[in-house]
Formats: sequence, structure tokens, C-alpha cells
Amino acid sequence: MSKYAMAVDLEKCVGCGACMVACKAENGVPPEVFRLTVYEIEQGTFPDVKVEFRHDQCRHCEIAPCVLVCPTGASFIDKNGLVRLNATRCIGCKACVVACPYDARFTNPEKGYAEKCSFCDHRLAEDKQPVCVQTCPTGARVFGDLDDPKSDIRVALKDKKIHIPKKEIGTRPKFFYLKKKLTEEA
Amino acid sequence: MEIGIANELGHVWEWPLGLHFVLSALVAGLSIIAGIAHLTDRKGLAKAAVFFAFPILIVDLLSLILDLSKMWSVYWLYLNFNITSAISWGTLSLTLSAVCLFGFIIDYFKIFPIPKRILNLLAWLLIGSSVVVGTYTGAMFASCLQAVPLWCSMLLAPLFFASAVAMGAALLELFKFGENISGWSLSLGAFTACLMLILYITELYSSPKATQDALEYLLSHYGAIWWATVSLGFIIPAILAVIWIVLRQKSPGIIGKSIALLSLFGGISLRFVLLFAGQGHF
Repeated sequence: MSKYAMAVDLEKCVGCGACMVACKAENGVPPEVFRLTVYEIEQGTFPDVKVEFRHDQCRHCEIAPCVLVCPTGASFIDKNGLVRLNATRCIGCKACVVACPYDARFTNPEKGYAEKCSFCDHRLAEDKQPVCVQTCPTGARVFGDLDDPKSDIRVALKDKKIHIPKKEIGTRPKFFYLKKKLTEEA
Repeated sequence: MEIGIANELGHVWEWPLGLHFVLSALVAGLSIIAGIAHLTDRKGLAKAAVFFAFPILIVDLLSLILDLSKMWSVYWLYLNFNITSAISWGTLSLTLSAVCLFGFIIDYFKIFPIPKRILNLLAWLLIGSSVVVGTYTGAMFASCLQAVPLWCSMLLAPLFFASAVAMGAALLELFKFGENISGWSLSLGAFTACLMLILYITELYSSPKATQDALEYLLSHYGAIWWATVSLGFIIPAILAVIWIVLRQKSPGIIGKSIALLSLFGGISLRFVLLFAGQGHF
């Protein structure tokens, strides 16, 4: 079985938002909501100011709060470790939307069911990369199978310093930020 | 500069769910009193509690359905049971409570004679399911503890349960017909609810920074309502309960009426304030 994960190299991301647009087009996401958002954060004070682009989307957590609170089994973890959603079973109770510590879920305003990033599971079935990864012009987004030592994600995780937002809450997310290793920073 | 517009989460759970929390508390409180009253042969009180609880439970279930954004798929709640989902437990226990209460109503109206043994079994089932109904709304908040700092406490479950019992007793005291609710039940409910609320607040103060920030947010944005809830809805009823016990009055009287009114206010206000303040911290 595969164990899919994604990472964003914060050194390479230029905040163009192409991933957001591609995601909306690929997955038919309604106009006012997003499965993937990119936002800018400023760190430090003048003259030592640093700007980074952060990405919010489903982390496909191994211990997923959304799956734990779902009363109908609409949210579930599949054999590839992806947190998936069965729209037919979803009753729109919004428990998963509230429970997600990453604010990655929302209610589809047209259909009423919960929605989130699926790592483009329909594309994975055709042996294609998620559309955000394929679209990224700087190659900042990396995707692959954590169980495959030769996969892009394993290589990237080995070469870079890994940052996991809200790591302390223990959901074991499979979405990482990559930064320069401390030796390179020095 | 913002590259994308983040999803406007705001208040994901709206007022129908707040109403559901309040009505569930009333159903739980009334049902527990009904069950205990039946088993202790206080039939008048049991009857009053059942006749209050059943219609409230129907409106309660409707408010739960009203909050669903795919309400016609509600049957999925009954086709699946997730042991880690508070909503699953809530749905099951509310349905069980409805069946038990309906059983009592059938007996009271003499539509169908139900043997005493079965009624006693229904009373035990009603008590059991009501404990779950009373605690599940608090557990529903607490199950989101990683995402909502203000709900970051499992003490919410016993707090909501204690408050539910106080609210049930309060409703019977305020709109009594038939047998009186005991002043002891009223006082004990109010006192325990106050104790649990103090424990909850203490826990928030000794929790990680995010939770303390959430409490500060609550105090700044909902300050007046929060203090009114804590003082009028919990502390004063608890003090009145102690006074009532010290005075050793036989019936609850004017003190009982005051405890009842304030406990009801406290229970309703607590649920709505926590619901909205918690989500306001997104």
C-alpha cells in the first residue's frame, strides 16, 4: 500500500497562487470557497523582515479528528492513508469542519456536504500527480509515497529541514513545510 | 498581502444547534427525574416530567435536523454508529429516550397496559440514556478540543450534565403541576453545576497558552454576558441552594423559585455563549 504525503518548499514558493486556481478548476470548487489557500506571513521586525507563503489545506492526518467525530462514516481513511469523504453519506452536521485544527474543511455552499483537499485522488488513480503539484511553476510542491525511498517526497524530506505546523497536537499530518537545513542557513 | 481569500468559517454551528443543546439538556434533566421518580414511586412527579420531556424531545430532534446542511440525508445517522463520535452517541441516546418516554405516555393514557416490570426497565433505560444525552453535548464540544481552544476541556461533559439536571429540576419547579420537585434535587443540581463550572474555568486558566488566550477572548468580547452567566446563572443559585439547605425548609418556596429561574438562565446562556465564543476564536 502507498502512504501518500505532500510538502511545500517554502524557499521555492513565490506565492503566485497557481495551485489555488488549478485546484478550483480541477475539482469544480464553488466560487466563494477553497480547498487550498495560500497566504503571506511576515516574520521579524524591520530591518530583519522575512516573508513566507503558507499553504492551508487538508493534512490527511493519520489520527484525523474529522474522522473521529464523523457520525455517519462519511469521513474515512482509505488504504493509501488518504482522508477521504463520501459525499452521499455526509449529512452536513459540520462536526468535521469545527473539529479540523487546520481549518481545512468547509461546507459546499451548493451541495451541502463537507469538502476538502483529496490530494486529487481521481488523478492518483490514473497515475498522475495532484494538479497543484503539476501546476506549480517553481516546483515548490512535492508529492509522493512515503513508503517508496526513491519517491520525490522522500528525497525532499531527506534533504530539507521539516516543519510541521501544530505538531504538538499529535494528529500526525502528512503535509509538511520544507525549509533550508540549519547548516545551509548558517 | 493575501494571495487567496481564506474560507469564511465564522460560526459553523449556528443557533439551531444552540437550541438543540438547550433542549437536550432539558430532556436529559427531565428524563432523569422522571426515571428516578418512577422507581421511587413518586408517580405524580414522574408523570409531570414525562409530559414535559416528550414534546421538548420532539422539538429537540427537529432542531438537530434543522442544523444539518443535508437534512434529507439524516437517516445516515441511524445506519452508522461511530464509537468515537459524540453525535452518534447523542442520536442513539435521544432515540432511546424517545422510545422510553413514549412507553410511559402510552401507559399514562392507558392506550395499552404495560406491565410494571417493563415500566421499571424503561425507567432504568431512560436514566441511562439521559445520562448520555446530558453529557454528549459537552463531549461534542470537547471532541473539537484540538481546533477550538475554549472547548479544550473534557470537564464540559460533566458540567453540561450537572447543568442539565439543574435545568430539568428548575423547569419542574417553575411550571409545577402535580407533585413538587424536592428542594434537595434543585439545590444539589445548582450546587454541582456551579462546582463543575468553577473547575472548568480553573482548568482553562491552567491550560496551554492558546486556551488561556481563548478565555481572554471570551472575557473581552463576551465579557458582560459571560460574567452574567457565571454569577447569575451558577454562583448565586449555588449560594441560594446552600441557604435553602441551612434554613431546612420543607418546600423550595421563593428561594427554590429563584434557584430555578437563575439555573435555567445559566444553563441556556452557558450553552449559547460557549457555542458562539468558541467559534469566534477561529
